[in-house]
Amino acid sequence: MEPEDIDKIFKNRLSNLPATPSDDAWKRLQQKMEPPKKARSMWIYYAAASITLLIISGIWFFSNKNTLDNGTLASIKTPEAATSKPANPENPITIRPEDVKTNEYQIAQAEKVQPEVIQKSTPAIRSAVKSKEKNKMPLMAKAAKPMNTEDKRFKDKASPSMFSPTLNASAPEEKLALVNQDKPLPSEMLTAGIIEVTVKRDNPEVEERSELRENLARKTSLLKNIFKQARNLKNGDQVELASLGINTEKINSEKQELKDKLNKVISL
Amino acid sequence: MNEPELIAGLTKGEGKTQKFVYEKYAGIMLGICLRYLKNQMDAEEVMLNGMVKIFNNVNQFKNEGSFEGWMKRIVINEALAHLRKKEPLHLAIEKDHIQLATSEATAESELAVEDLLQMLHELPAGYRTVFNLYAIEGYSHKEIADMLDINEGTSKSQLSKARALLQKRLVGSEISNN
Repeated sequence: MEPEDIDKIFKNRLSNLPATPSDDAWKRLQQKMEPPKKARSMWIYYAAASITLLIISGIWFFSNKNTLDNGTLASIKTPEAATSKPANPENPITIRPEDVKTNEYQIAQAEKVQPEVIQKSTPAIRSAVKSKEKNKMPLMAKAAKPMNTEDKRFKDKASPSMFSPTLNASAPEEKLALVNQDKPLPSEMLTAGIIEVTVKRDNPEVEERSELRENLARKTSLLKNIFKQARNLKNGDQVELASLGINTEKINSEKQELKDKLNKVISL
Repeated sequence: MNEPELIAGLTKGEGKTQKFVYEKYAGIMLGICLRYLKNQMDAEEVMLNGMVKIFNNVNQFKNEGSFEGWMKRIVINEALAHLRKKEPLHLAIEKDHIQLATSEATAESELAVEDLLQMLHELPAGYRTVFNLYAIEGYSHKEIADMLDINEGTSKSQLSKARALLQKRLVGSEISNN
């Protein structure tokens, strides 16, 4: 028998081997067809979930930041709004010079006596008003001086974080403020920051100093708190938002909402 | 449905066409798998995997040669992959000399398909694979060497050893039949 004959025997009989797949084979084939599709769509879900997560966390982060800022602003603003005249409604930033002034002094003397602070701040406000009415330039110089004499540590962390948001600072200013929190400012930049501060003070209604003084005590404690929290933040300690007048319940409810959203996305 | 229609339908992923192709070719493909793999369940599994590959990669069919030939090649490759995993091919040239049967065995018509398949399955996986590819599928030694990642000499020696063993069995069955 030639080797080719053997080949032929097998080829003739086995090349078209009759075979019948089992009955459930087609079903199994369909099941096998699905996995690649499923895997692909799952990737889309994962990608979508991670993107939404990023967006949501981003929104949450910024809204959180905003509520912090707004909280600070609002609590400072409210007494002002109550005391100030309806004059000058087109400029809501007007209230701030006082705050800024008091801030500067208070923080400088935060651990000293409060009455002193008030007394000190009053002349400062006066001078601010005067200079405002006449010329802004001298005020800038004045403002720069006390700042320079102040504790540098305070400037670095407190002044930017407290002031720039309240001053309706533009985005770059905010950035600057953020940078300031971490690194000590070069004196030039400090002055620049102070210039920004003074320029925005076009407010002629510092007349209600007596009422302002009443509020000062409250503000002092609030500012102290803010200052304290800022320090905590810098030192990595726990920040008590409640003491800053920030509604933790609101944040919590937002958190809950976010969790629900996330769960939905994950369950998808 | 002719081949171009089938290919068009498969490319669109039409379930109807897939079912049609399955009905028409599943048996043929399973027959191929059964020659390479001893286990019926394994053969069916490999056939189904091959079908999935055919359906998913139909766009890679380049109209070189027949569509059926392309499908067979995919299923064969699937079977080879399975063999490599489950049944080591033992493609190294074995030293032991195989005595060629001398008697003249004919009467092939008397041999049932099942017996032939049985003989094929009793071959070592490497012999069986090369014999299948060369004698039944009609690939050249060069093609086989590429498919199995061996050299042509190995393919040739495996084939001759497979033939010798099969001849021995054929003669043996001849004798027992008589």
